[in-house]
Amino acid sequence: MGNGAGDAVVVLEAVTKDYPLGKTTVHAVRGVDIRLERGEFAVLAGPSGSGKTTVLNLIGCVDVATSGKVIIAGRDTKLLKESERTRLRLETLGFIFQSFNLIPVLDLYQNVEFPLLLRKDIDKAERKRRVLELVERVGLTGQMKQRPGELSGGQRQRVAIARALVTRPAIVLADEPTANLDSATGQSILELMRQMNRDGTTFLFSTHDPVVMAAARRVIRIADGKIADQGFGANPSAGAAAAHAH
Amino acid sequence: MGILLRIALRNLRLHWVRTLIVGFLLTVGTWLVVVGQGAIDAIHAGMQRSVVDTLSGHLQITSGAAKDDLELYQSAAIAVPDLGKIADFGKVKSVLQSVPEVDAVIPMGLGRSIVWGASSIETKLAELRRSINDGTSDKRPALIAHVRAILKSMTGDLDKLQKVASDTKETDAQKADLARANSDAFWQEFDKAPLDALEFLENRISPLGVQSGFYFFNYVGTDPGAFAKNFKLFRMQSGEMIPEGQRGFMFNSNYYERFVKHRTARRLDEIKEARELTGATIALDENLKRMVEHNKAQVSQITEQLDPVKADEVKVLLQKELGSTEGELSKLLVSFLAVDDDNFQRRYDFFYKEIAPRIRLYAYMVGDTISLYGQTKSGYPRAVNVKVWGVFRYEGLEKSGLAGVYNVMDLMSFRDLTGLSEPVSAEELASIKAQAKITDIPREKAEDELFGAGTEVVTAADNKTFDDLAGRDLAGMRKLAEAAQNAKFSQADLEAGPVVNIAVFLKGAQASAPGTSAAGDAPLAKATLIDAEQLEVSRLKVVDALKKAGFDMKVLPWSSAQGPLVGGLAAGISIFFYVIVGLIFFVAFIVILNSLLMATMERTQEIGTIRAMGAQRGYVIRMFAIEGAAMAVIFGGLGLGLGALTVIGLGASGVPATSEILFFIFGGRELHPLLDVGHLAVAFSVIVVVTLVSTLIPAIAAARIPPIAAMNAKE
Repeated sequence: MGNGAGDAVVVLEAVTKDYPLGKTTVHAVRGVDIRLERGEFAVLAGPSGSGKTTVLNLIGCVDVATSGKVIIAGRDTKLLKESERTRLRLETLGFIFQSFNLIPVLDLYQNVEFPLLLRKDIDKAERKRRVLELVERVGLTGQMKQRPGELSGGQRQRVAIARALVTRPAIVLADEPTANLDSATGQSILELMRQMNRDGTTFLFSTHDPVVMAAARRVIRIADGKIADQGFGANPSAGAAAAHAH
Repeated sequence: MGILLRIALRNLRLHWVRTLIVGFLLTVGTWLVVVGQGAIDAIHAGMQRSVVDTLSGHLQITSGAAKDDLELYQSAAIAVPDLGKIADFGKVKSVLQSVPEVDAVIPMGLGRSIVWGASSIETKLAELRRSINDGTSDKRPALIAHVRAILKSMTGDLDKLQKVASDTKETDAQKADLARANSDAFWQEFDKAPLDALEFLENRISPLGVQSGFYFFNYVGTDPGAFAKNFKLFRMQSGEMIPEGQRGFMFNSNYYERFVKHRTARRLDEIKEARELTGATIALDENLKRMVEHNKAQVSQITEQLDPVKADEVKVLLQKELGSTEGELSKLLVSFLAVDDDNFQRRYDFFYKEIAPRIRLYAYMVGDTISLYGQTKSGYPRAVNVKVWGVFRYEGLEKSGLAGVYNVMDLMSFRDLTGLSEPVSAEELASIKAQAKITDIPREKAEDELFGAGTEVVTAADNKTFDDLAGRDLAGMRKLAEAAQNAKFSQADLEAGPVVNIAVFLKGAQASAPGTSAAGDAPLAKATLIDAEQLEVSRLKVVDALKKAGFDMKVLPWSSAQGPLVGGLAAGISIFFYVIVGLIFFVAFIVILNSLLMATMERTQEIGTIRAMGAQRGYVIRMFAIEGAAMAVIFGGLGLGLGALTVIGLGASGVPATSEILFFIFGGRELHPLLDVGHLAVAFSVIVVVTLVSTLIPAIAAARIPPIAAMNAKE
C-alpha cells in the first residue's frame, strides 16, 4: 500500500481542522497523528467537543483536513476529487451511525443490500449471498421483510452493522454506536462487532462510553483537539477511562 | 434503477398527502391539455368550416390595386371596403383553373343596400297587384276590405298631420286623393280597370303611408349556382334557387329570421331558443321578460295586418283559447302575449298555428320584389329591383349571426347596383353636377359668385305637384323596370364581366361531397380540412400563376380574409386556454418544487447517509428525477387516460352550442373534440418537462447535501 504506510489502513499526520464560527475560528483538531493497523479494534475517546467526531469524519472522508495528511488505504484524501473521495468511501469504508441512519422506505434486506447496489462490480447472486450471510450473522433472518420502523433499536443497529460490512470494507467507522441503545443491547452490539473484528475487519469507534472503551483493544484519547494518549497496549487504561467518564 | 424506483414509490406513498395534491394538479393539467387541445383543434376546424364553407372559400382574391384590406365580416358590420375591381373575371378564372390545386373559382362582390320597409298600404297593394296578375280573385274581397281599413286610418293620421303642417296646400291635395280612394265610387269602379286604379293607389296613396323603418341588406353578388354548389354548407330552406341566367335575391335564413321576420314572431322564437338552448326562464331572465313586455306593447303590429275578416277569426280563436269574453282584439292579444314559463309552449304553438298564417310573417316573402338602393363608387345613386327567389341556410349555422350576415344576389344585379360594369363616366359625373346645380367657377370670380348682387344663388325649388304624374306612361315605365328585372343573361355574360373579389376552393380539402346532409353535424375528421401549410403552398402557386399571366392581385388565405375580428376569436380562445393550462402547470410547478424542497430538508440525513455510503451526486439527482418521473408517469398517465376518455365521450356526444357565437365557433350545432395521438404526446411531454424541471432544483439542492450530514444525530 504506498506512502510507506506498510499495513496501516489509516494514517493521520499532523492533521488540523479549523471551523469558522462567526468571526472566530474554532480549532477542532490541532495536529493529530494517528496510525491504525489492519485488524485493529480501536476507540477514539474523549469528552464532548474534544474533536473525536471530527477526527472520525476526516478518516471517513466526509470532511477534509485543513492541514496535514489523511491517508486512507494508502491514498491521500486531500489529493482526491470529491467524486473520488465518494468512491473511496464506497470501496474502503463502512459506516455505523449513532442513530442507525437506515433508509426508512426500504426493508431490512434492501437496507443491507443498498451499498452493494452503488457498486457496479457485484452481481445480483453475489449480492444476495452476502446479504443473507450478514443478516444471518447479525441474527435477523426472520425479520428480512421488515422495515426500520418495525424493528427495535438494537435490531436496527444490527442491520446497520450488516450494511456497513456488506461491502467488505477495509475499515468500519462507528460513531457512538451504542449511544442510543440500552446497556444490555449495547453490550450485545459490541459483542457482535468484536466477532466481526475477529474475522479481520478493522474497527474504529468514537465514544465516551466506558463500556465500549473497556471492550476496545486500544483507546486513543483526545482532549482539546489533540491526542492525549495513543493508548498502545491491551486496554492499558480501560479502568481509568471508565472512572474518568463517570 | 430498481432500488431508486422503489425508493421513489415508497416516498410517494409515505408522503401521500403531498403526492395526492401534486398528483391532482398534474392529472388535471394533463387532462386539460388533452381535452383543451382536442377542443381547440375542433374549434379551429369548426371556424374554418364556418368561414370557408359559407363565404370565403380557401383563398380570396382581390385586385392588387385594392385600397382596403378584404375583411369579409367587418365589411358587413362597418363599411364596404374599397377593393377596386377585377375587370375580367373570365380571364382570371381561366388562369386560376390552370393551377392544378384549384378546384373551383367563384366570382363575388360584397355590398350593402338600404331597403325601405314597406308601409302596410304598400304591402297590401302589392298583394292586390299580385292577385290581379295571377287572376286569383278569391282573396280579393278580403284584400280590398283590408286596404280600405288602412285607408280609413290613414285619413285620421293625415288630419292630425294637417294640424301641425305649415303647407296645408299639400295636405289638402293629399286629403283629396285619400277621400277619392276611400269613396265607395272608387271601389265600384275598381273591378272595371283594376290596374289603373292600382296605379293611382300606388303612386298617390302609397307615399302617404308610414314606412316601417329601413333595413340594411348585406349581400354577396355572385354566380348563385356556383355559390350553392361549392359552399358546402349551403342548403335551400324555402323557395327555390335563383335559376341560371336569371336575376334575383336569396335571403340567408339567419338574416331573414332576425331582421325580416315579424317582430312578435321573432321575439317568440327568441324566447323559445333561449329556453331550449340555455335553460333560461321567463320568470328569472330579464331579457326574456323584456321581450314579453315588448310583445304586449306592440300588438298593433299584429292587428294592423289583419283584415276585418281575419281579425274576427283571430278574436274568436283567442276568446276560446283564453276562456275570455273580452270583445276587443288588442286586449285579447295583450293577454295572449303575456306568456309565462307554464303556458309558453302552448301559446307559441297556438301563435304559429292560428295567428301566423293570417299575418305577413316576413316583411319580404318569396316571390316579392325588393328595391335595393346603392351607389356607385363616385356616389351616383343606383337602384335595382330584384325578385326574392328563396331562402337559404347554412347547415348547422342557422343560428349564427356571423354566418347569417350575407344574403345572396345574382352578379348581374350586383354589377348594376354598384356600377361595377361601367367605368366612372364623365356623363355620370356631369349628371351628378347638374342635379346638385354645381358649376365650375374660376377662383377669381368666387367672391362675386358668392356675395355679388344680381346672381340668383337660390333657385326656387320646383313647385311640383302630384299632377306631374299625369300624362306619363306609368304602366309602360313599370313594364320597362320589370323587363330589366327579368332580363336573362348567359353564363358568358356573367363570366366576362368585372367582379370585386374571387373565392377559390382548393382540391383535396373537402372530403364529403357538397350538399351531403351529413356535413353539418358530422364530426370533422382533420383530413377533411386543409392545413395551413398545404394552403400556403397552394396559395403561392396561385400567386405565381397570376403573376405569370400578368395580373396584379392580392391572394389571401381564408384566415386573413375573414378579418382580424373573427380571426381573433379563435386566437383568443387558444390564448385563454394556454393561459389556463399555463397557470395550472405553474401552480403544479410551484407545489412540486416547494414540497420536494421540504422533502429534501426532511431527508437531509437520509441523503447524507446515502452519500456517506458512497453514492455520487448524480445518484441523488437521479433519485429525485425518478421520483418526479414516477409522478409524471402515474398522474400524467391518469390525466391522459381521463382526457382521452373525455375527448372520445365528447367527440361522440358533442358539446352543444348554447349561444349564437358558439354556433359559428363550433362550425355547427355541436362541437366534436377530436382525439389525436399528437395531443397525447404533447400533453405527456408537457407534464414530463414540468415535473422534471420542478424536480431539478430540489434534486440539485439534495445533491449538495454533504455526506457529513449523515453524522448529525437527530433521533
